[in-house]
Amino acid sequence: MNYWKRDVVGWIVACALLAGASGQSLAAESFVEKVKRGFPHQFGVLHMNAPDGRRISWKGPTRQPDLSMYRSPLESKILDRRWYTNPGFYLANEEMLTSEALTLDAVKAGFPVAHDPQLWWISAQEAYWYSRYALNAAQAKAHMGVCLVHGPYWTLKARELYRKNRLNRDRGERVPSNKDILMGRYLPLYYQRVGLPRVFDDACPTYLDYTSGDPHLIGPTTFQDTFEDPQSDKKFGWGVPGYILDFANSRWSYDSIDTTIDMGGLAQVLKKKIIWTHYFFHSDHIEPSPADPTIEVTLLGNDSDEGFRGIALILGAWNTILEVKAALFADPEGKAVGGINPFVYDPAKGLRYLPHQISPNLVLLGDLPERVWALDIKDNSSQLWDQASMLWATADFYYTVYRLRDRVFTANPPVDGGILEFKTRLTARGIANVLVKNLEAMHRRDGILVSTWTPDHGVGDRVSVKDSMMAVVGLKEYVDRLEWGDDPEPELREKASDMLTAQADFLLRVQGADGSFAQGYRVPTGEPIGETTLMAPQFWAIRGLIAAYHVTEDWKYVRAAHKTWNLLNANYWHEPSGLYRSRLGDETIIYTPWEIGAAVGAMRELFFTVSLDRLQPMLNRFKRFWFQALDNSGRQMAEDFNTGELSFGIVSHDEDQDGIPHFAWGDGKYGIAPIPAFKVAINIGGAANTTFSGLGGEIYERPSYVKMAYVPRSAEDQREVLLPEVEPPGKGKLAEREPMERFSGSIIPLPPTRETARGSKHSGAEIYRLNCAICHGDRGEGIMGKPLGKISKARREEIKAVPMAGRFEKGMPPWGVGGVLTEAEIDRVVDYIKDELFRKAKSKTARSE
Amino acid sequence: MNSYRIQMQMWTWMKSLVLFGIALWLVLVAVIPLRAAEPAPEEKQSPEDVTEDEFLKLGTEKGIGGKDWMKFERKQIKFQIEQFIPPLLEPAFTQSAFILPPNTFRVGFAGRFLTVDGNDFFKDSDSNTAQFRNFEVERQFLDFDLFYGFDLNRKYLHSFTLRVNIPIQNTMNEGFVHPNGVPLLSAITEASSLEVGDVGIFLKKKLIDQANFPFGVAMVGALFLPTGSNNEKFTNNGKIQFIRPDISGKLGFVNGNVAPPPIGVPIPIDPVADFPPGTGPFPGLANLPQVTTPFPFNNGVFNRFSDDGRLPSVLQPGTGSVSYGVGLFFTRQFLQGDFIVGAEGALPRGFRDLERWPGRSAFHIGAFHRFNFEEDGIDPGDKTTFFTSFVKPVYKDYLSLDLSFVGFYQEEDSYKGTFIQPQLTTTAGGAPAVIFREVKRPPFVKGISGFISPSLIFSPDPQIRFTVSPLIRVIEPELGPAPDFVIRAGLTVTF
Repeated sequence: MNYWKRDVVGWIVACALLAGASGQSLAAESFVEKVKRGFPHQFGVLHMNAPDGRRISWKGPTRQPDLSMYRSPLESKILDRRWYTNPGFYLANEEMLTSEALTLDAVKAGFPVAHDPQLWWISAQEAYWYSRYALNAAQAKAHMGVCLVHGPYWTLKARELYRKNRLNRDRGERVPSNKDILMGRYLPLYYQRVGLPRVFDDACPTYLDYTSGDPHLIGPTTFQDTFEDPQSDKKFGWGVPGYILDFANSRWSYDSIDTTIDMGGLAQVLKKKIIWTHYFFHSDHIEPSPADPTIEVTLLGNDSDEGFRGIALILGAWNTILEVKAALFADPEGKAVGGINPFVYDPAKGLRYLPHQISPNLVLLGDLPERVWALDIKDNSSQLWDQASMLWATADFYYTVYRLRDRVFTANPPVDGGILEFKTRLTARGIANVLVKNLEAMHRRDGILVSTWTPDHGVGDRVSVKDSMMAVVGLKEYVDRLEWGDDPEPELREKASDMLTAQADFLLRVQGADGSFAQGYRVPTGEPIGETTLMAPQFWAIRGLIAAYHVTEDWKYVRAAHKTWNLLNANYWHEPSGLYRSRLGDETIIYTPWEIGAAVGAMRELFFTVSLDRLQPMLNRFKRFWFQALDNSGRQMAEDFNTGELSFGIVSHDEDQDGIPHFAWGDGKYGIAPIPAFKVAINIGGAANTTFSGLGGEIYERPSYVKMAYVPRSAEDQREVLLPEVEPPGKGKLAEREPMERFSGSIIPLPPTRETARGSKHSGAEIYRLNCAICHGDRGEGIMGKPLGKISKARREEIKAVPMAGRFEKGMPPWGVGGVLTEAEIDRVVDYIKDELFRKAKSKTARSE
Repeated sequence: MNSYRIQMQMWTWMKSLVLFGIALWLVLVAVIPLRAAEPAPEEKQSPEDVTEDEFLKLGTEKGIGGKDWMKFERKQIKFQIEQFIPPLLEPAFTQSAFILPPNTFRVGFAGRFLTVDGNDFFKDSDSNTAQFRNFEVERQFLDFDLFYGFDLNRKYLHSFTLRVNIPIQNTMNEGFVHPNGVPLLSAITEASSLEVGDVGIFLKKKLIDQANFPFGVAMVGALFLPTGSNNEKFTNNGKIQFIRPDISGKLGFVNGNVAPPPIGVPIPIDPVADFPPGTGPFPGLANLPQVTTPFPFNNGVFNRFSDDGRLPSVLQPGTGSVSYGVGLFFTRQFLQGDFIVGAEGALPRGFRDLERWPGRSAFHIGAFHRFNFEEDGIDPGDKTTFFTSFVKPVYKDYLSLDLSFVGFYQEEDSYKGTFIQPQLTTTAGGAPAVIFREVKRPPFVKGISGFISPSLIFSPDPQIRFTVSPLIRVIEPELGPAPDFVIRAGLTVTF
């Protein structure tokens, strides 16, 4: 063959191969195209393709049930879209605790929650995901704090590695940076521990959180799932939208961020991380090994994604605690911050305390996020909210170490499979002890805790109801949690218990005859300060009083709480809007995360203080308030696929037609983080309300397609929600209940209850659809819950045992224990799972394909 | 190039090499052992510090790093910055608000090379070719820099960088000038000097980091020691030789006539040689027999700038006295995703990368003012440098492009005293003539000059950086020289 002929043939062959390859790649359907043809509507689990061939399960979209029966028209304005860490995460904490309580604790306690998909939508989806969205957006994506990579734990590890790396000669060696340690040494191990194939791009899990920021996104959201992965050097379809893995454009404008560290905000974030750490690690998952995909192994976390997030959270929480201990305690004059030795700390020998605000002197490290160069005190007062919030968080961390012992907290991590040292509990306990000592030394006036202490003026003479609530909640956490372990400071627990009781008694003393509370009180006289007709202090008082009841089991606190509840529902409740007035007499309701967090937290706790037969009206009111205040007011500025945006915003910007858009299509050029607006105003006074019309902000343009079908209740019907102000009925009349351990780990007393009617005539399929599908998926594929495919092949008795007794610690409610579902109902649903669910699903799949 | 010039060049480079060697020796012998002598942090700790729970002791006297944990963290940051302070985001030759982390050294070596010819001398913002068209100055500036980052670990006393700058400059004048634009006179003003300039000590303080503010701000204060000579003179012991056409009798003081020319009396010029000053080449100079004589007045000393024949201050290595400087620099660093010009998919295929432009990059702007003082009757005038730079990595972590503008405002220099200056005039009859007058010494430089510079920054290792910068003149000064092109190359090593 002539050379030229050979060349021509060669070119033809090469072009053919190239064309074939191009055709092949063009033929591969992109994720966006799949979504456009309805692909995600058919499943509740995403599968991420790993470069090594594994398919990683990922919680996917869920379908919103009809909520129209709880919605009615609202005229509202968004006054401030900014995110404030302290109230934002306080609300997010209350949301997550509500999710756990109403999904798991409520079933365990036998609440009348069967066949109520709207309640499940709140508890298992919205409360859970709204809280998680906030965590994800403001703590992992926004760069709203100093990133975890700079944490003191990595500094210590860097020094340790350097020391261990030295031989007789150290010529040519260098001290590794924090990034070397986290990214190069530990993260690869964490991937393998949870099974995640890659790290999120531009993620910034925080350990020192800033005060506030503008949540508008800085760039367009990436939906395409094809991108080059620098970690594997591969470019292919990951099977999930790009924005799930790449956070680069989900950052908030750095210029908008107030980098002050607010101690209360830092503590609320810390608490949040701990709550979620426990949730993400409540069970393990079985998937192909990252080292050998042909073998299935048990990996840490509920799934790979959540396991990895859990690791990021617990590392963030631990680095916060370590930084607090090493660098955030102020000297007695409040001039400089430094470290503390908690186990020799004695306030009498010189106070060391957590100041209210710290200005971090930050330094931008080239291509790395900013790092702390120095810390200066901005506000040297000590605030009760801050101290109590930090107590709430550190005591919970201590307890969480025990709960996750041998899985997450081990003696010799990471080589024994653990993430952090078991001894980390000692530092958390040490800080908690310091806080209790300081509360007694700095914040007590005549036995009552006051809101403020300053180096110049010492102990203040007033306390707000909000601070009192958090003091009681924080002290309760300390009393509950520090019982664990070897309990080396029983006297401190006693002191904490005494302070808690004194504060709760002070609330009882200042409560108005009608059950009302003012914004605050002078100490010790109890003279009201500030406004007396605000909604939030009423709910905060309820929350604090019930926390005191949980510790003391003294019914007087519950009686006072019920009185305030009745006041709220008699005077503050506005039936047409489904909202509580933020101030009595106002025609404009102003809600911030403070008000909503107060209401949600108080209602949740109240549910566990009443007889079960009184719960249904309360739950209905709760649902009405939730859907109106959180969803229908414009407060939730955006959402993601987990709460109904089935097409990821690709096909429709508001797939579930609830007026809350997918975050890529939220306010602003590139959308907005799926978090609540800071301040919304709602007009309940009609067109004549000049206060509302005179407010700034933007009118919330609710899409016309949002269905509203709420039928207002009569005044008489509304009274169903009121509670009798009587002592807990004695034995004989009502059934006694044993104290209950909640999913959060705390043990609470349950008052006696009347028996309630149970059971239904629903078929197994209906029972599954109304109660199970929200977690296990329409086809049993598993979303929040486990997939049922393998389980359905087990013996009937084995299947039945699971819903009957539940796997409470692993997130499966005990449907049969409290009688939420009768045994007959469970039998029917087991029949359905065993005989129909997968047969039907299989045939559906076959038809669609 | 004539042999004299080659010899001078070789001599220049030999001296540069020797000085570079001395600087290198200083670094190797003095600085590195200084660092090596400092014990590693863990070696400072007592054995009791290595107990089982380092967490509990953190931030206390027995903890790692001692009581001040943040002080220890700052040391750790150094390891981060050595690898990540943006060698690809720092401007090639202008300034930034970045500082070095504590206990970090950086050595730098940079050279600037430029030639100024007749077109590059300005008067009233136009090229002063009448005076300088046959004149050329070659200059080489070498800068040896030593930087040291430190932190005093007190509020308001964080984040300093100390810099010692040893400038070496070589200047070679060639050709001749036509004093005051008189074409018939040509002053040979050759000069050559290779000297250490004024050693500068700079203390840079970061006032605020970008992490706390929309942009980073740093201030610098400088002290310039009078180590540089301000006494450099033209060649031949400061004397000047004039060449002129041998048009005997026309000027009245040629061929050994050493009598001072009459001051203030017009001396007629041969009309044949007459031509308007500054409008054309010196006609037929090369073909005319030339006479080189000591300048027949003032003993041949070219006292344009001083009685002892000095170079103008701008060509002197030093100012002769202590001088000071202050500067303020701003840096805005952009991160990935910043400054997006369009929504995803808004740009045509092939330009998609621009949607996220500029992304990772940095913008710098600042100014530095040097206060100079009169010495020996010469005031060099203050000088303000102002700049703006945009730096963007273009190839992974190795290569950046820097587009800079740098401008200089030179206050008018001044020279005390008078000298005799030839000027063109006419006789009473209207014939062309030269007249000599005693005049106050006029300034040599003044006004704003500006350059744009696209630079390449190559960083094969985060601690090593090479830069190459051509500077192209875009603003011409009102008075004095300004090269139309400067080439600069630099190297820094951080350790």
